Amino acid sequence: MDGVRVKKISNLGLLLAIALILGYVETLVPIPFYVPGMKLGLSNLAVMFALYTYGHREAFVILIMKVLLTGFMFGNLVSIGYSLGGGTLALIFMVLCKFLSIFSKIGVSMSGGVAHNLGQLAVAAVLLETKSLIFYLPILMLSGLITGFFLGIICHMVLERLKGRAL
Amino acid sequence: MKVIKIADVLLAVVVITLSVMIFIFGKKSEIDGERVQVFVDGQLTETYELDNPTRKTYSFEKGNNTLVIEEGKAYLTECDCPDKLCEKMGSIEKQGEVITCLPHRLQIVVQGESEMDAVNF
Repeated sequence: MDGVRVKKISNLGLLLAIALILGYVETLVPIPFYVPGMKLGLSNLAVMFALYTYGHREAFVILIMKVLLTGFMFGNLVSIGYSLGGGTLALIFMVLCKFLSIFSKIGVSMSGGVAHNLGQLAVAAVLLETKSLIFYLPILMLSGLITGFFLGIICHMVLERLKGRAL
Repeated sequence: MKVIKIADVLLAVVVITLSVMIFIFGKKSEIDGERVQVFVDGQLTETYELDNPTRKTYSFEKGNNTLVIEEGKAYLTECDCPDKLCEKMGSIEKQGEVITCLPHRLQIVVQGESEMDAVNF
């Protein structure tokens, strides 16, 4: 029993490390045109992996730790606010969609991608006290859908390969 | 478990339809703007005429942004925010267009005749 717990804890630590690295890798990928809040959301892979392998509690822990650590290392209080708003909304949507069980991993991931961008835009609208950011809504929803689609495929492939292994 | 389910496709269709609708109904104005409003921390601080070439540097705790107005366009330059995304957003000239510098919480908005208020939009 203890061995299982130790394994789980170390696996979650590993996932957190992967989330942090992916967050860094993401900054190296140039985006040709700038829209506020538009991101690849690579580190969401780790959160989604935790969601499918362990459950929503573990995924939430990974998310919060990732946001706080990334924020304190590379960002500031404002960037923590954005990531927290986007990430939490994304996870809530993913948990709901997974619970409904009519979506596959790709659908869950797409809902997360869209919700993430919506959450970030909402935080931006509150912080800047403006509604004019609504112009970015369509492009952010579409980009979240597309990144979510590809991340969902990657997550599906990773989970397939790890099938049957005790994690 | 199938890789893609019908609900996934439906979700994608709904999101695409929604964004296309928002894009059409919330379409950016094609009317040339007349004024540039500068917002700091969400507060309107200054207004400039677009046809009057101007150069103004704003200083904040964390650094500076320079607002340049020339040839009826406005843009930000010489910014020392970490990501320089406000510079990458290019220039704005149409009503309702916005440039935002999140690190410095600075926002410039183009306004026109119809006074489409960015705050109460």
